[in-house]
Formats: sequence, structure tokens, C-alpha cells
Amino acid sequence: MELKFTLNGEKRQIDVEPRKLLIDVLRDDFGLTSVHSGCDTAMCGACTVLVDGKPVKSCNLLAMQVQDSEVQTLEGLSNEHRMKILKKSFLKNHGLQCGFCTSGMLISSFYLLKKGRESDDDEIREAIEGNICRCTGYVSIVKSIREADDILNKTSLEELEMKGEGR
Amino acid sequence: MSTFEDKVNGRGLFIDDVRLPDMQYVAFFRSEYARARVKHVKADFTSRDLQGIAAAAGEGSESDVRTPFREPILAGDVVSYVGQPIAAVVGRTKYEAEDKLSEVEVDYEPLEPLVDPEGAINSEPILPDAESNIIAENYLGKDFNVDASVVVEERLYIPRILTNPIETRGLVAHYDGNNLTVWISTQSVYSIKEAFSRSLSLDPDKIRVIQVDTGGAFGLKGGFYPEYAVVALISMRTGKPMKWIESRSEHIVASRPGRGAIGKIKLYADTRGKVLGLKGDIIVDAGAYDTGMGSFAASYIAYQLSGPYAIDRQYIHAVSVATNKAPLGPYRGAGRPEAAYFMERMMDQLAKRLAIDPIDVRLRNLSSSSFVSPTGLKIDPARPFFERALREMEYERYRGMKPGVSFFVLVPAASGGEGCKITVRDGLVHVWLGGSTHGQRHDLLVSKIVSSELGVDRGSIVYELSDSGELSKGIGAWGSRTAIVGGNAVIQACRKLKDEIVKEKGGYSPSMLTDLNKSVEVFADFRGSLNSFGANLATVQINELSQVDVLDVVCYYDVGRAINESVVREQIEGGTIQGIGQVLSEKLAYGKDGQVLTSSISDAGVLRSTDFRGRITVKIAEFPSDLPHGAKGVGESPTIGVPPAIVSAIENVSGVKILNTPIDPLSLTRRENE
Amino acid sequence: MGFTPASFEYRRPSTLNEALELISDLSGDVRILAGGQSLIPLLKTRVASYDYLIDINGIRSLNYYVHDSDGDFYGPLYRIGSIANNDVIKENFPSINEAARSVADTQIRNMGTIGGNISHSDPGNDIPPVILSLDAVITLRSKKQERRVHSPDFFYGPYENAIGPDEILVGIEIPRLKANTGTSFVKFRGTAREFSLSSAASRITVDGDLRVSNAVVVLASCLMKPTRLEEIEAELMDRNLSGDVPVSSNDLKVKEDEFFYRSEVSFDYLIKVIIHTLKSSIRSAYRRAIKGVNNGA
Repeated sequence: MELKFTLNGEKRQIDVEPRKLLIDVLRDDFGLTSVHSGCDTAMCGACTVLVDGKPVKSCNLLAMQVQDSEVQTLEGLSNEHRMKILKKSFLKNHGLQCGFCTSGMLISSFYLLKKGRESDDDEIREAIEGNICRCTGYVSIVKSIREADDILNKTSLEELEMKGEGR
Repeated sequence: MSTFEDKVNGRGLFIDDVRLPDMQYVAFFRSEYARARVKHVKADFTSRDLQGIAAAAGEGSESDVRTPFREPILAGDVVSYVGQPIAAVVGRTKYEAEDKLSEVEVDYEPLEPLVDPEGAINSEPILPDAESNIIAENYLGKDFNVDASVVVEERLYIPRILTNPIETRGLVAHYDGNNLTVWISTQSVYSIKEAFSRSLSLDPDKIRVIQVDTGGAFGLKGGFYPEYAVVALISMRTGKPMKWIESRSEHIVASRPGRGAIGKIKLYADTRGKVLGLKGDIIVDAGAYDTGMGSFAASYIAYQLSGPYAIDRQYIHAVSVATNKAPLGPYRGAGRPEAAYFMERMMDQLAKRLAIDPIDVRLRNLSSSSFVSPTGLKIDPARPFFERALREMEYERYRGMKPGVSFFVLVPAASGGEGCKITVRDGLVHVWLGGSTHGQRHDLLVSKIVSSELGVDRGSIVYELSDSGELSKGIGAWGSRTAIVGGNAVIQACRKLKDEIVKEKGGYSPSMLTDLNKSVEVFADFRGSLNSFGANLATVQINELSQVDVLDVVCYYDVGRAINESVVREQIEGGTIQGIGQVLSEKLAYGKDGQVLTSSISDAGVLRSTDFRGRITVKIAEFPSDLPHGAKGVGESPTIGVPPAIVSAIENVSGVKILNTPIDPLSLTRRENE
Repeated sequence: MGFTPASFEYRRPSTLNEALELISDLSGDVRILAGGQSLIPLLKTRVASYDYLIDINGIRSLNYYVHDSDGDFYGPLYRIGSIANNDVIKENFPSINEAARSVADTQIRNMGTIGGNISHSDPGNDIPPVILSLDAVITLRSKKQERRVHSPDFFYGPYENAIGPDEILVGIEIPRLKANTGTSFVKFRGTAREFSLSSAASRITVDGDLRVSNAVVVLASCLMKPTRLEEIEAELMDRNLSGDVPVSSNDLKVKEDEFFYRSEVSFDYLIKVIIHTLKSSIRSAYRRAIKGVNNGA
């Protein structure tokens, strides 16, 4: 069956079996292996992607459900300023150990930081409630998001450019 | 391997990312019964087509498994646990493979399962060729009679807990007609290679095992599983590369959970709280087959039961019992948390009985000199460490909050040493270790040691994941061992490389090194152990619905020397949450019929980001070991020390005696009705 | 095991009429796919399989929310996440906002729909008790007719409700609240637990003396279907609830066979949790109700 959607900014059209899950189309047909499968029950969030700008669990969607929608994976967000800040902060603060939940964590955090005002730690924890991490105990993840949030909200874009973090 | 930069950019190479031309997918048909006779099976691959045993591998598998308890790679005439693989099918996609499962036919004759380990001790054997359900039995220490004014006796229990890494098990196997190559998510390519060789009777020289990015393991991925052998055999039969990725549902029923231990402990003491003797039964629910860990766990718990305490008389009966459940495996700590939980709970019970401060009871039983227990456990002077720990954890400051305190000894699996290979090629220094990271940031350990030993900058050091085709001999990453023996192996390899260059060139400089193309390999042997102390303090608050909020966890652990302090801290933070989970929620639940009641990763009790919002304070104690880098272990310390401290705090605040985890909130509501 | 749905025929109508034609004409097991957040896990584990899935996500006319003087009107495809982030709903119907925010997690809410949450009728779903407490009317349409079902008549039991085999839920109406009315939804979920133990939705109206003049209290999650607790409602009438909320386990006239029980906790603990959830929900609805009086006065 024909599926038309926008993937990471490009218009795509492919023939898919209707039962195929979005995660499998992204991984198998488009090679987007940032998207991980971690549970069968839509709990762990390792498969999180953005559909029409909002995080959803791609293992819990038929690919056909994104007909005419816009899908973004971690690969497609690499030029986003907010995502760059987040990634730097995750690396600096060790917001990952094994790295398997990381793409999903980054996407949920990205969505949180998009709202353009400061988040408190409770909001950060709630934003990643649908993403399970077994390694870090979330401590360094919350710290990473916290720092990215501070950078984005307390520093003007010009200052960031000067520090070389804006590019 | 992919770097951490790669991982935040979504460019890791995890096992499900490995694709080979013409690769096919394997799916398993699994037993629906805990115990049944299998009368008829129809499928692509059954026990008639594929024969072999799942060889023991990984932590606890030193001894060879006795015949009646070996797990066949596909069940034959009997199935012994829900989830046991009976047949395999192959598809060009995983969709097609799962479709084929619906065509598999199995006729069972259900049998009465044994699920209670204590009851199974004297029941008819569940396995046809076994004489009893006792997989292993040992008596440690020496029987004694002692005139004690107080005897405290309790039965304590920790249920089975799933390892639940976010990446499940998986492998790709390719047999090219001559050699078997396996890509796998693992803690040890060497144990996997050896187990393949033993399971399939293959020449080890024709097997290469390559580790890919490993998405967490926690003990799960040091082992060898029936599925691995089946996938390789199917590749050998078909000549095609085969992939198997475990689903979470499979992980829940058919992977190997840890813990699952009962401790019936008796402390004999005088009225001042000095323990005169320790007796006990350790009963481990080993599951249907022995995987090494199954037979190892009970004695291992018994061996280190007395922990940091100087108890002169000890007599402990350790028994591993077969039940109709998935075989037992190691889960972060693997015997150590069980021992510490049992002992620390008992110290608190003794204190309560005598109405003595639990801190004083502990102090009374700690020695200021080294001690060797009747079971053979060697410890350093414990009393000065504990006194210092109380100060460092600011015990007095928390006192008003009725904190729980625990004290333990970490017994790392250091014995056996580790291998390391360094290859200098085109200006880059590539390093392979016998046991490689599945989240512990060994890349930072390696780059710090190599840069300080060889003077090269960190940018030119490439940390590689394990590959049996590169480094010929290694052990694996488990039991808090890598910083100790892996670190030492890296140092020995660096020094060997430097010595050879000095011999050849008459001198050494970093630029001389990077101009060369050269390779060295070492195996740095290590015998004995490097036991280290740790202490925890925890405070809790209990709400009107008896829900426990953990407020503060303070950790004071001896790590020898912290090679990278933030990595040490993060290992402790992550392990602390697992320890909290063990106390509050984690459990693999079985019905009386042996069916698995746990239905998902959440149902298994893995904590989410909103389940713990308390504070973790990490204080690192550095009492360097004799190794050149001074390191000791740390990875398992939090799962050992945190649970007893939290349970103790809950007991102090609620006034309710707690023997088992996870804590049922209802048990805490009794306080009001009493 | 656990990764992939079995095959099915897939239809994606772009109009409601087309969908109604399909559901009436197709023979075999037919299932409507809205957000799919409860359905897809069942398909993946192959616990459920269907001959046909009718994906209604292409019917744009079913995704709306209208707030006007008669009440609130929801299209079945309006997402739970949209409810949770809608300030108009939060202002007027705090209980709907609270229920929406307590559904699973952000990702599930972004995909899950109000219509799906109601029609799935899992006892643990959060929207059903709230719409029952608010006297909602659910519109069902088939090829032949349209009918309006009053919420007390809608829920039959776990996964069972008034939707006929050839019907589609096409709208939810929530009548405007009387003056001085407060609403609230409270759910109790233990540490790291997948399912809630108990949830409660309340709607309380007060008179000028801050006494309760109307009370609706719904208990759910632990019951086969969301259920109004009339004895407790009667107990609240004419009372000022500024102090303690007079609800005790004696007022809980629930028969044993009405309980839906999937957790390992003991019954005594469940009762404790139920009373706590009911009290919190009633207290919070009452506080919101008297705010109107105090502000208006």
C-alpha cells in the first residue's frame, strides 16, 4: 500500500505492507537506525520519533498512520540548534552509559525544550517519563537536560554563537 | 566501536543494526507450560534436527554443569519452564518468521510443576535423569555449639528480578562453510566463543566472536543461551547469515533472572550484641537447568554471608534447587546483594531484640585487624572504615530522620586476570580488552591509562570493543572486575610495548610510538581477590497510603583509586536506582502453576524517571590496592549496599519488621491498627 | 513473539460515510483504528488479530474540539495530548485536563485519542470516569442511523460498551457546568506500576452557603466499569466540606463481583487506596466549586 509522508524534511513515497510498524519502515526501508526497539508494550520510549512535531512511540504505530504527516528522527534533527545544545550537554554530563535509550531521551527532551521557557526538575522528569533508562538512574540525564535548558533560556543566542555553541 | 559522539548522533552499531546480505530471521516457539511432556512437534527446526546443550558461560560458570541439569538447546521430550525453546522457524523478515510460528504444532501432556524451591528440595525430580532436584549442595564453615544468651532467627527472601537492559539479547551468526562468525551484544566474547565450541563441538579456532555496541547487560549478557546455539546451527545448516533479536516478552519469560534466594539465618549473640556464631540455610531457586550461576549462587552467598563482620563460628548450608522456572542467571551483584541483605537485616533484628543502637551492634562485631572467616572470606580491618564511613556520611546529621545504615564488603570477580591488545597503526593506538563496555565507559578508563603510560594524547587512542579475532585470550566484564584486572592488563600491555620499543630503538617517545606499526598482546594474570568495603545511609518518608519515598541515599565506597571520578559517581547513581527498585517494586512474579505473571518491563518494576526524585550523595573513599593503578571494584557496590540501608530506614520509620522485598505497602499499614 | 502484527486488510477511508459503508459491508472481524495506543500492543503480541482494520485517521472531520455556550464538543480523533495542553479545557473542566494528563506518558498521549480511550473501555482508562461524572452524551453512528447514548448507559464492562458492530463513535458532548461547580480527577498508581489501582472523578456544585447542592462521584479502574457511588453522593449533600470529607469504607456499597482486580495488592489495601482517591477527588472538586462562590460574592 502506498505511504506518502515527509521524512526528515524530504517528501517520501513507498509501498509498505499495512501491518508494518513505523519503526520497521524507518529502520529497514530508510536505514534510520537511531530508532531503537526496547519493549513490546510502548513503555521504554527507545523508539521515540517526532510526528508532526510531537514525540510518539514509533513501535506503537502502523506506518500507515503517518500518511501525509511529517516524521523526524534524531538523524533529521541534527541541524537544530536546541538538539546541538542537548547533545553537547549529554556528552559533557554523561547523560548516557550504554547509549541505547539515548535517541529517545534526546527527542523527548528536545520537545520539552521547544516550549521556550525554563523547566523545573519535575517538568524534566515528567517529560522523560515515557523513556526508560536502566543505566544512569536518570540522574545524569536530568542534569544534562537541566544544563541544556539553562543554556537555552539564560543565554542569548549571540552569546552562544560567541561560545561556538550556536552553530 | 562507535564512540559516544556517534551514539548521541544515533550512529551506534547495536546488534539489531547489523545487516548482512541474504540474512534471515529466526523466531522461537516456546513452551506454554511450566512442565509438560512433549508428545509431538512439527516445525522447521526441532530437537530432532538440532542437537546440543547450552554450555555454561560467564560469571559463576567455572565448574562444568552436571549432566542431568544441562539445558538442551531445543526441548526434547519434556519442557521444564514457561518460555523454554521447543522449535525454531526462519523467515526472510521478522514478520515472516513470526508468521511461521503460527504454523508450528506442539502437543503437550501437562505435568504438575514445582515452583516453590523449598518444597522442591524433597520432591520428585523434575528432570528425567536427575536423582533429586538438588543441583548443588555445600556446607561451609564448621558446625558448632555455643552458649549464647540471645538467638535471633529469621527467614528472609528476595524474589527473582529481571535484568531488563533496554536492549534485549541478540546475535547474528554466519557460517561460511568453514568458519563461524558471530556478532553479538555481550559482556564477553571469550565465554561466548568457548560455549559455542562446547555446545556445538566446534573447533574454537574456527569461531570468531565480535562484540557490537551493547545496550546494557547487568549480568544477562555474560551468559550463553540455547537460542544462540540454535541460531548458529541454522546458519551452519543453511549457509545463510541468521539473526535473532529477543523481544521483551521473551526476555520476561525466557531470559535468566537473578536473585531468587531465601536465607534462613540464625545469629547467636551475647547480651551486648557480640555475635558468637552464625548458622543458616541459603536456598537458591535455580530454575529448571543449571547455567553455572544456578549451582554457584547458593555457596557464593554463604561464602560471603558474614560480610565485614568478624564472626568466629559459622556453619552454613547452601543449596541450589531446581524448579520449573527459567534458569537462574547473574543480576548486577550476583550473590553479593543477597548476602549483604541477609546479614544486614539480621544485624538490625539483633539490635532490635537487644534494644541496642544498630550502629553499636555493628561496631561490636567489627574487627580492627584483618580477618579470615570460617568460610574463607578475607577482609581488611573493618572497624576503622565503618567509623570513618559514619563521619563521611554525616550519620549524626541525619539521625533525627531515623536513617537506615548498611555496611558491606564487595567481593569482586577479579581472579583470573584479563587480556589486552594494543595495535599502533597509522598514528592511532587501538586497544582491545577481554571484557568490554556495556555502559561502564571503559573507553575513558582505557584512554586515561594509555595516555598516562605512553604519553600519547587521548585523541589518538581508539578504544575497541572485544573481538576474539583480535585479542586471542580474555575473560569478560562482570563482577566489578574491569577497572581492577582490565585496567591492570592495559598497563601491562603499555609497558610491554614501551619496553619493546626501548629495546629496538634504544629509547622511547610518544612520537616514536605513533610513527610505528606495531602490536602487543598480554594476559595479565591475577589471583586472589581485592575485597573492598562500602557503607550506605538512607532516609525515607512514608505517606498516608504507606508509599515509601526515598529521600536521601548516601554512599561511601572504597574504590581503591578512582580512575575517572565522574564515571565512578555515575556507576553508583545508576546502581542506586536499581537498589531502590529492588526494595520498592522489582520482582518477576510466578503463579502457582509456574506461569509468568509479570507482563511488561513496567510490570517488572523497573523505575521510571518520576519514581525517585530524592538525592544521591556519593563520597568516594580511596584506599589504593597494590596494583599499579590502585583500583578496586565499584560497579556492584550500590546494588549490594543500597537495599539493606533503605529497608532498614523503612523499618525504623514505620516500626514494622521487614524481611522480604519488594515491600508490600499494606505490610506497612499495620502500624496504625496495632 | 512480540514484535510484529499478523496480516490484516487495511482500509483508510477519507470520509465518515465511506467508513460507515465499510464497517457495515465488510464481513469478518473488523476493528476501527484511531490512535491505536492500546490496540497496537495487542496486535504486536498477536493476542488480537483482525481481518480488517479501518483506519479513521484520514477523516479530518473527526478531529475537533469546540467550546461554546452549550458545552464542549469533541471529535473522537481529538488527541489526549491536545486535551492535556488545551488551556480552555483546563479552565472549564479541570477533571478532563487531569484525566488527560494522567494517561500513560507524553508519547502515548500525543497519539491516543479521546474516542479511542472511551471505546477501548479498559477499566484502567482515564477518560471514561470523567465523562461519566460530567453527564456526557456519546454519539454513535451507523450507515442507517445516528443515536445519542447517555454516558451512564454507555459502559457495560471491561472492553464492552454500547458501540454496535456497525457503529462508529463520532462525537462526545459535555454539557456546560452549572455555576459554582468544581470538577476533579485523581488517580492512584503505585511506584513503578503499569496500571492504576484506583481512580475517581467528581463533580460538586455548591450553594451560596458553600454547602453541596449536587454531587456526582465516580469510581473506576478497580471496577469492571466506571460507576457512580450514589450512597457517597447522598452523604455529601448539604454539607460544607471545608473540613474533613466524610467518606469511609462503610459508605462503599460495591459488590464483590463489581471489582476488577489485576494487581497483587491485597483487598484491604485496595480499599484504603480507594477511600484516599475518592476523598482527594471530592476535596479538590469542592475547593474549585467554592472558588466560584467566593470570587463571585
